[in-house]
Order: sequence, then structure tokens, then C-alpha cells
Amino acid sequence: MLKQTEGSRAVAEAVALCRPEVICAYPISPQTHIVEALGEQVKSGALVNCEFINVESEFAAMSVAIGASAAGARAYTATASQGLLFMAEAVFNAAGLGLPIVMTVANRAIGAPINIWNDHTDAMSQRDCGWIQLFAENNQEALDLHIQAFRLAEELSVPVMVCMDGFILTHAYERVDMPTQEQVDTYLPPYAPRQILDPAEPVSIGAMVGPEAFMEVRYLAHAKQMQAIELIPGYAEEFRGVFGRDSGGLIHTYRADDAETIVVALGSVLGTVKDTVDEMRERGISIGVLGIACFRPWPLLAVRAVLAGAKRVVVLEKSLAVGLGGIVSANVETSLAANTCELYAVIAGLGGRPITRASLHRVFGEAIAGKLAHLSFLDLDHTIVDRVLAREQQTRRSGPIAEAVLRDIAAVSGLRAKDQT
Amino acid sequence: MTYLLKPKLHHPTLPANRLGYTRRDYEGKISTLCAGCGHDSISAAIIQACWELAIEPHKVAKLSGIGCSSKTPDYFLGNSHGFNTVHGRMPSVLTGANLANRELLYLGVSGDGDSASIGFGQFAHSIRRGVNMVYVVENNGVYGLTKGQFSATADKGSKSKRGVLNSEESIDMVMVALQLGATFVARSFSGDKAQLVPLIRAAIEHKGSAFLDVISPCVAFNNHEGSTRSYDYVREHNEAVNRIDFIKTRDAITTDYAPGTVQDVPQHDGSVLRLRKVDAGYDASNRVTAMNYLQQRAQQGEIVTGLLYVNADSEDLHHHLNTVDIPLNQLNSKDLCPGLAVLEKVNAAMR
Ligand SMILES: Cc1ncc(C[n+]2csc(CCOP(=O)(O)OP(=O)(O)O)c2C)c(N)n1
Ligand code: SF4
Ligand SMILES: [Mg+2]
Repeated sequence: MLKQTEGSRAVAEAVALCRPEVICAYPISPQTHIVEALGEQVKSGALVNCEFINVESEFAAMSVAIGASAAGARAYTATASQGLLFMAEAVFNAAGLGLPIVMTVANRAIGAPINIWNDHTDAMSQRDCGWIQLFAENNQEALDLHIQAFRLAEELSVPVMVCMDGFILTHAYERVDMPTQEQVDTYLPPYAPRQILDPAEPVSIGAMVGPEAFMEVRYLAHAKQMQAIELIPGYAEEFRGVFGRDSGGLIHTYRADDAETIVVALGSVLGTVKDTVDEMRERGISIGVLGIACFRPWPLLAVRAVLAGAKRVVVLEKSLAVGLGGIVSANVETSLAANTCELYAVIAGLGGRPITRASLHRVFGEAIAGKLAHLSFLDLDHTIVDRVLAREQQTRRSGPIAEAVLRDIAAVSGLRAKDQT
Repeated sequence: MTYLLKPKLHHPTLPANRLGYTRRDYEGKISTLCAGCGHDSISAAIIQACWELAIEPHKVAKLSGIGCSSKTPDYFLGNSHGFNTVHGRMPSVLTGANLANRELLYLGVSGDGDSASIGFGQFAHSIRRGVNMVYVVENNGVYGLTKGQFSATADKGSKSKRGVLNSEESIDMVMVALQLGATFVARSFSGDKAQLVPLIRAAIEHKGSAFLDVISPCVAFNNHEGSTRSYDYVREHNEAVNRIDFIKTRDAITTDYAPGTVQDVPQHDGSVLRLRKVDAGYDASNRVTAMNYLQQRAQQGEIVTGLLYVNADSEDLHHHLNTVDIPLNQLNSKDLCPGLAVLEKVNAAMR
């Protein structure tokens, strides 16, 4: 059924259709609306056979989900940013134990400095712990991915994180096609755990494992992710069969077949990227898009195949490996193998900095002209950065950085205003 | 974060304290909280107490976590040191800062979510260590900043704005602080400035963990019928056990009290804390009877306020750790390394 609704509410409805049995969460922007909507559904009786627990922290949220999942319940939680970091130990735990928990991450920057706006730093910080990570491009895909996530998680007994851009998606009212309960029930069978705490058949979970077996257990987590690479395209295919639309899968391409320049990105920014690419195509420029829908496992071969004919690849990413550069681009590099095309990492949108078409035109144009640095920061204010660096050279006690930047912005904008008069 | 600075215009008739500062000198930026939020009244009380005590602003460190309450240090003592930590971690960061520099007055400002939900462990351990600090919890029973979900201090049976009853037991932070050995424990109400300001003053003068639970209604999400943290409910159920008349020894005692109606608590610096009893039977120097009394009254739905417990012989973390009087961050290598000769002597003593 088509409806106009907020991204968070759409996701909450989709999760409810998946018949979760335990939902545990702690509020944090921009995730809160999702679990609030689910809490309402449980309280009102619209969502039956489900316990909603208002836990006291994210660490408790993931721990409760671990317990619930191990006891055989379909468990769901959601978080963002600081919340994801605060639960990090339990996030690794869920992965190591192979418990099929589904979690929404409403992507938001990480402090300090505290910032509530969108980027991908939170999800990227947990990229290598053994969770499957899916990134939604729009609200329709966000809700669809949750349905696929439960299927995938439970088939493999692996936790799945569905990442959706905070505010840009969670708080945007868009039209979505909400599936029916019958459709979801057709697609998602009842939870049949691969491991369960069952009084009739006692097992213990969480054994201490020494050097003799640890490598094997970790390898098996990796093997699960490799299996996911095989399963995900088929699940997307099946999804199309039941729901009548394309959603999920490993990657999405757009005008990429013959493109000399391919832009790689993930999440909601793909919309702006596609609009920009359309405008550039109109001007006769050979450019296309590769959207990464599944970031973990990394779709190595699928990405390699798309990039095979490209002369240059521009990776636009909302995260920064401090001290290295791009995170997504480092992953893309593993797919390039013998391909010697130019690879550009463009760090953009950190802490919610808008990514505009004007800036994308400029940066893609620079890449095509061979004028772009291999690592660049979209719309970074160099004047401000240089002032801070210069001051640090002059003064030993240069003070807290964020506060200095805020002061400098005020000072520099004052200077600029004066320049104009 | 707000960047709205208050204009620094002082009315010439504003009274100045011993240091020559007016109350305005203890203010901060313009508050961005909801109009009527209890937290703003607590900020005003902190300003008043610090002005009255003539605290030197640069000798104060304000620390907070995350929440509407934790935003308030931006709105008072604009000339003091400030540190916004992450959600629930203020007590630990404060402990570290206090260890490194014992000379500052540590003012920890937190919320019930910040301290009783996500930061409960940090709260508990900072109290049981006896960190020398004033720990203020601005308690509204909800997570104001994330729009009004019940926190761990919400009373069982109280009703949310959406009409949902809280089914879980609440944490009474005053009881916890008492049990964990806090040497100064008080509860007050943001709407009772006459009670709150002297309590903050007394807490500042106290050496050791001073814990203040201040009921502070959230007008946006927890001020309705059925809430036990609304202005109306707290006014109706507030039972003050005593009032502080803070009296320094050099001040002449001018008021006459009926026998049995005052309790004098001598302080470290030789001053006397004079409690005017509202409940004649209440003994603020006895931890166990205080806990019993609080439990009994809580059962009857009363919110007991006042200085609930104070230990006149309190000690703090530095005392337990036997640290030197000089702040650790001021020790230089000469202090820390007594030299080869001393080492030889120490070694010789062990041979
Ligand atoms: C790790 C983490 N989880 C969640 C949040 C979101 N969050 C911010 S403030 C807050 C609750 C604040 O409640 P309280 O301390 O009672 O302060 P109030 O706003 O009521 O004054 C929450 C859940 C966060 N900032 N960090
Ligand atoms: S939401 Fe509540 S706690 Fe926050 S500023 Fe408004 S009234 Fe105060
Ligand atoms: Mg609160």
C-alpha cells in the first residue's frame, strides 16, 4: 500500500511486519522515532507476541538482544552514533556468537566534538567485527532491507545492521510502498534458530576458546560472510518476486556500463550523485554510478566487474580513516586488482556538511581533468584549518580544537564581511 | 550549544560580593532550554550560591554529561572551566580531573538519565570513592533531550505525557548515595530557591562527595496530571525536614530558636552549619535513621527534602589515597625524583 510517511515510521512498520519478539532500545537521535513507533505498536496491541524493553543504555540494549536471540526470540534493536560505540563490546559479541540480531543504525557522526548530524563514521567503526552491513539509498529501500535482513540473518545465523542516513532518511517524509503482512510472511519464514538455549537440550554459549581453535572460529565468521555474498543477490531476486520491486542486493549501478568515470558511494547521497551524473551526461560526459548496497561482506568481484572498463573511479564517502584517508576507497582498491585506473577518495559530508550538486560537479570535473588530489576533502575550509595549524606552531598551549575552530569561523566571517564593504 | 552571549552591561546598583563581583559575573550564556524548565532555576541557584560565597570563578570546574541538564553549565559561571563529557561519563572524567588537580572546586551537573540510567555505574563509583565534588542531579524523571521517555528515576505508576504508566521500580538516587557512603546528601526542588541556594552553598563547603538530588520539572514532557515530577505534584508532596541557616563562626547568632529545633553541624573550616528543623525528630547526622525515615516517607508518597545527611568528619579520595597537598599536575621532576642519593639510602635500608 502506498503511503506518505516518515522514514523512521516506515522502518518501524516494516520491522513490526517481520514479527519481532523482543525489541530493546535506548533513545538517541536520530534513531529514536523508530523504536518509539515500535513501542507504541506493542503498547497498543497492534504488534502482538512482542516484548518492548526500555533499557538503560545501548550496552544493555545489545546485551538484552543477545540474550533474547540466544533464547530463541527474533530480536531487534536500533541505535546511532555514540550509542553504537557504547555498545561496541556487545556488538562484537553478537557477531562472535553468531546471533541473528537485526539492528538499524541511523547513521550519525561520532564525537568529540559532539555532533548529531549525518555521516557514516558510526557504522564504519564497526565494519570489521562480523556484522553484515547494508546501506539504504532511500526510505523505500530502508524498509525493504529490514525484511531482507531478518531473512539473511536467520539463514546464516549472523547479525545484520541496516544503515540509513540519520535525518536525511529517518526524518524525511517520503512516499513508500508498505508491504502487506501476507507478503512479509511469504518471504520471511518463522525464526528457526541454528543455536538456542533450550532446557530440553542444554548447551552452553560463550565458551573460552584458546589458540587451538580461535582462528577457526574467526575464519568461520568470515566464511559466513562469503556465503552471504552468494545469498544476497538471490534474496533480492526473490524479494522482487514477492514484493514486485528491486531492493537490496550487493550493488546498484546507474549509467555505468560504458562510463569512463565511475562514482562510487553508499547511502542517500546516491540520489544527489545520480542527479549530477544525469546533468553531466547531458553535456556529453561519460560518467556513471556504482552504489554499494552491501558494504559487509565487501562485494569484491561484483565491484571489480563494474569498474573493469573505467578510466577513473571517484569514491565519495562520508567517513574518514584518520591517518589514512578513505575507508570505502580502501575497500574499492581491493577490487581493482590489475585495473590501473585512477582512484580518487573524496571525503564529504562529515558531521552533516551538505553535499551539493555544485560541489559534485566541481570535484567530478577536476577528477576528469586529472586535477584532483587522490585524497581530497569536499568543501573543506582551508583558511580555518590553516589558522588553527599556524597557531599551534606559535603557541604551545593552543587550547581545545573545536572551540578554536568555532571562534575562528566567527572571526574569519567577520573579516570576510569587512572585506566586502 | 548556544553562542548567544549576554551583553556585559551591569546596572551600577547591583551589589558586589567580597571579591567585587556582581551576580552577573557568575552568569553564562543565554539559556536555550524551554521557558519554565526547572533546570534554569537550578542554574540561577548555583549562580546565587557562588556569588554569595564569593567563589573565584577560575577556581571552579564545571563538568557534565549529555542531556538538557548537562547543557546547563553553559548557562552559568561563564568565567569558569567547563567540560562536556559523553553521556553518563561525567563522574569518571571528574574523578580524573580531581585527582590531577585537587585545588579546583568540582561541580558535576547531570540528569537522571545521565546519572541513573546510562551512567549509573559511574555515579555509584564516584560516590563510593568519596571524590571531593558537588554532584547535582537535575531530576525530572525523563530524558528531556530525547523527548520525554521515562528515565530510571521515574516513579512506578507515574504517567507519561502519552498516557503510558511506568511499570518499573524507580531508582532513588538519594538512597543510593546514602548507601554508598556519600558524606553530604540533600534533596531539593528547583522551585524552592530559599531551600536550594543554602544547600548548594553547604555542598560547596563540604569536603567529600556532596550529592544533591534536585527535582526539576520538565515542562515539555513531564509536567502533566499523573506525573510525579510536575510542579504541582512536587509542591503538594514536598516534605522539608529542615532548612539551612548557614552561619559562619564570625557571624553573631542573632536568631533565637526554641530548644530542640536546631541542629548544629561543625564544619572543617571551623564554621558551623545550622539546620533549622522542620521535623523535630529528624537527625541529619545519622545515616541509618535517615535511610529508614526516607523509605517510610517515600512509601507514603512524600518527597522528603532538605539536608538529609551530613558527616562532619568527612574525608575524601585524596585522603584515602594519601596524596600530597600539592596538586599532582603541579609536581615537577624535582618533586617526583628525589635523586640518586635518596635512592641509595632507600636501597641501603633494605639490604
Ligand atoms: C551513548 C548515548 N546514548 C544516547 C544518547 C542520547 N541522549 C542524549 S541525552 C539523553 C538522556 C538525557 O536525560 P537526562 O540525563 O535525564 O537529561 P534531561 O534532558 O532530562 O535533563 C539521551 C538518551 C547519547 N547522547 N549518548
Ligand atoms: S525538554 Fe524538558 S528538560 Fe529539556 S529544556 Fe525542555 S523542559 Fe527542560
Ligand atoms: Mg532527565
